[in-house]
Amino acid sequence: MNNPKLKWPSVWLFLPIVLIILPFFFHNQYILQIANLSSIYIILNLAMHLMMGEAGLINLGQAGFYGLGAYAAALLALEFNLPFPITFLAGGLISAFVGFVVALFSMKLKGLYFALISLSVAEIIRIITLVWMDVTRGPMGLPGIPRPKLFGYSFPSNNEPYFILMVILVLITYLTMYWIQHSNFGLALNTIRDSEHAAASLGINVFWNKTIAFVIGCFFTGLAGSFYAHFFTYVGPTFGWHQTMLVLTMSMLGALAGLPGAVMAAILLTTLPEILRPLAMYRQVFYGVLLIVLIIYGQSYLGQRLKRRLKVDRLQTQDLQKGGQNNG
Amino acid sequence: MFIQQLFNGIMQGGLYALLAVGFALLFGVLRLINFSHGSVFMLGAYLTYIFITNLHFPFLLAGLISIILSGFVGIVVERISVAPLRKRKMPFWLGMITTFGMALIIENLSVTIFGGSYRSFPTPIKMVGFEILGAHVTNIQLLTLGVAMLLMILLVLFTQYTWLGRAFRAVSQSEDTSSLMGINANLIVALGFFISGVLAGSAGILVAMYQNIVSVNMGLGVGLKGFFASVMGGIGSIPGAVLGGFLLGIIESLTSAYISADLKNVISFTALILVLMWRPMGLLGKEQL
Amino acid sequence: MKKWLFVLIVLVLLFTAGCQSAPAEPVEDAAPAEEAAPAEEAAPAEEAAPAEEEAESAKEDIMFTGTIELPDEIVFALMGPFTGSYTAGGEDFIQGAAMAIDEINAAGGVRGSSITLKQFDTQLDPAEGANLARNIVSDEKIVALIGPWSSSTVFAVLPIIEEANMALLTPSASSSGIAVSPVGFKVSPDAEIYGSLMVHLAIKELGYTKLAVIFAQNDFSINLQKPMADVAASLGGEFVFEEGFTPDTTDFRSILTNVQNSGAEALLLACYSQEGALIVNQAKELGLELTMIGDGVFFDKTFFEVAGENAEGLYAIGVVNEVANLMDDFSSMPQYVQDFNTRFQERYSEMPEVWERPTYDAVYILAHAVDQVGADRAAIIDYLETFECMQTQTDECFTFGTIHWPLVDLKYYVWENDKFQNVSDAPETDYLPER
Repeated sequence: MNNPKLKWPSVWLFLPIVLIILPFFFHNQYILQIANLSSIYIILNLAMHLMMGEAGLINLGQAGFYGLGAYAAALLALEFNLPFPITFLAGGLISAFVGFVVALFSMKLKGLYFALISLSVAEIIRIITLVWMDVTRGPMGLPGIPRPKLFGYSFPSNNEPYFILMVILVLITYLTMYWIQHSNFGLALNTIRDSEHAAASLGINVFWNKTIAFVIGCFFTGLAGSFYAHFFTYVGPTFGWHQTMLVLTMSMLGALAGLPGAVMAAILLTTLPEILRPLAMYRQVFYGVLLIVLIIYGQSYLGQRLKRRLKVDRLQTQDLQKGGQNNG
Repeated sequence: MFIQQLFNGIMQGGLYALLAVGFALLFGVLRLINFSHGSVFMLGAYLTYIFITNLHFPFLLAGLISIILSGFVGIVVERISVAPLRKRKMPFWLGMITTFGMALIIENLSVTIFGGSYRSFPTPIKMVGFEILGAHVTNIQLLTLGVAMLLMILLVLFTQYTWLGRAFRAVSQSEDTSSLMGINANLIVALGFFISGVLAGSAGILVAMYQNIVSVNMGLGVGLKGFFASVMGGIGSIPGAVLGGFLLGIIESLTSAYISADLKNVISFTALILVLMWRPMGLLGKEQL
Repeated sequence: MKKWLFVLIVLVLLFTAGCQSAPAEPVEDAAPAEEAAPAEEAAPAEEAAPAEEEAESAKEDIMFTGTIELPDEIVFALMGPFTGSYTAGGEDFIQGAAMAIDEINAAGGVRGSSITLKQFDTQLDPAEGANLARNIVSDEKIVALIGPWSSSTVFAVLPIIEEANMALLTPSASSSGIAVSPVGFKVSPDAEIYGSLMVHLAIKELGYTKLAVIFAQNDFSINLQKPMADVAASLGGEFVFEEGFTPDTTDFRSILTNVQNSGAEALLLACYSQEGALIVNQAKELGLELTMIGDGVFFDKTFFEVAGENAEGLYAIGVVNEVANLMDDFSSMPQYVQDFNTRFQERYSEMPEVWERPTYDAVYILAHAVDQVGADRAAIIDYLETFECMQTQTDECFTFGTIHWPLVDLKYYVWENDKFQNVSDAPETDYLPER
């Protein structure tokens, strides 16, 4: 890495450790479920952070790729009895491939149009999973997906070893994102995000950088999907409107803050519905209120962090000019 | 049979167009995807239902009051979820999340207050069917299409020929410049939400009349259709939204008729993608981004 | 400083979430308190028959198997869509269950212990259902689960409930895969039965040979439609038109125009009541003169309000109680059906619609099970599979058997002059599996 490391505030180090240890204290199925679910959403958020926070792509269709990964993993496991590591990776790879195809014909367009196309693609994927009865069983979904099985050990249920597996995955994703963020590729993306014209004039290939970021983002989104499939052992055509919005709101909040912010946003918005459960009927209303409050007032806190990062990025851009450009 | 299918498409398209137009108004002015459009749509219909059934208002009065109330709900949405963002100069796409929050609030409060089942919507007019060019049409269908067209024409006239309409277009082109010209942008935005709310509420009442049914869930898919139509027709273009709406209705109808009803969304969204690839600003849109 | 405050708040919130996993106090059910009082007065009188039955069997138990120890409070879980995009099912669940529970408790509960219901809102989302299921199985007091409403949610929930060896009784979900699970029980008959009978009605009773079917893309409707083509072929008829539609469709005119041009003599509707009402109305607007046939789930009061005169001549297949209050000869219905309607009307000021009765039955069946074998999850499952005969609203001699769903008497009806008229009984052979 040839740029000054961002100083990692100590508070962000303390929190994840507490959160990882938390489920082990409670020994409770329900807590573990939330913890595992949060982990899946953290991966989704990190993927979105890459696409939106680093590269400035507005991806409104993330839920579609999420569902694609889930269905791919499910079908490969059920129809062809492929072992877990393969189905797991396949979910990511298939999403990445479709993402690549989508990027090929839409990445040249300006941000908003790309957003609209991504939304359309997600809707198309959703309808296909709903009506392609022969393959996806339509609304009845695909039950009975086998649980993860590594080296002969089957993770039978929602228990502690399962959570450890998830934590490992989250760590791998996080480290990948961190590495990207501090690499030349990351710098290029940031430059593109801030101004495509400026980036182009610096000789950065805007199209390919954005495409690669998008493909990587879709890969991790698909991975999250395959994990969803093996976790719930059931996938149905529910990756639609409301799911899209849930994922989007988390991601957008996460995209604004730095990488740790993305993680926090995911955890917060996964546990929030659970905390709000006693409100019964009014739960969704409260959730809506919270969303609004968070966006409007959370900005002032998150906004400062973003400004600081931008300042650092500007220095890095100068660095880039001197250091030469070697991004594909 | 083709004529009948075409008619079906046009009827449905008229309703989509009305939805799209209210949507496009805000999209054009603020680049805002207003996710609460569907909720206001539902409120317009449901409030009318309540006024007629529980308060025994006559139909026209109930409808008028609901429409005006819908406009005010639009303003409430703006005050709570959009104005704070504009004040702080935040990126426009955050408005998506806050309006989505408003949608959650409105829809779920409605479910709690009104209950989740669908209800029969009291239609004041007796249905009379007749044949035009070999296709079956009813008087209610023609009425809803007529009212929808009237509202849309009024809106186009408004934006093209009145002072207020010009102010709208000015603000959508550049907020800063128009402020310099003495236009109070905040007022314009609030007015925009009012009009958008009125249109959404009217659309809700028309659809409820058309189907005889009202339910708290009727707004859910609506946002997507309105959004689709206004994008396809052209961002920021009201006539474009109208065109987009009719196109959507016709595409859906013909797909249902000749291919398969399941696939109508797939086909329509593919069409959208193709249009965007070829002409990103939409069929009638002007390059404004 | 502000940062640590933020972190602290987050931690507090997360710990609250964690502590909530411990069973909270039972959530109030939706039944208004004031209305419960008159119902309770009426209940003991009408409940004399089943209560006596319980007392009888209780005595037998004490004589033959010794006493069964029950906790003071017996808890059932109720899962359904109480908020979200489709809440009618959830509302029915709550109404039926609350009435049953209040009646049982008023009559002394199960051997003196009261029954409580804990509600879990799935919002019609299978993933949410799975989350809730974990919560349910962690709660030691819960001995059985009633619900969820949709087959998809049941499938998402089943693996977790199976692991915990707890019984799952769904009053509404109809997919055949549910009954295959060792713990899944359906209170309503299999949707495929309804579908087959709709075809039989069209061909054998009404004499049509060319049929059309429109079905929604949801699990119930697809199951209805699944056996139709084969049954038609075996009876000498055929389907000239089959079309599915996505759930958010509100305009059916294109599909109906195609039906019109297909030469079909009868139209079978495999969907829920809201879509059904729209289809019936739009068909009439287009000038469609076909006979239409719907299934029992269709028919709630709102359907007829919306469809109005257009419903004249509509055929239906139903279990006795689903269309009870709309029957022309309601007074000839079994007494227990009439009593249920009266009590329901007193309590909720409206007639029961579709799923209240099966949910009511589910509660009574479970209460009966607990009475016989105690508040033990596994024992309840065994009992449910083996009990011979019990009187419920769904059937006079209700039993699950090893197939995990009941065989009930079905009848054909036609809607004329604002009421359902009897047409005939549905056949008992050929469409019903062996026990």
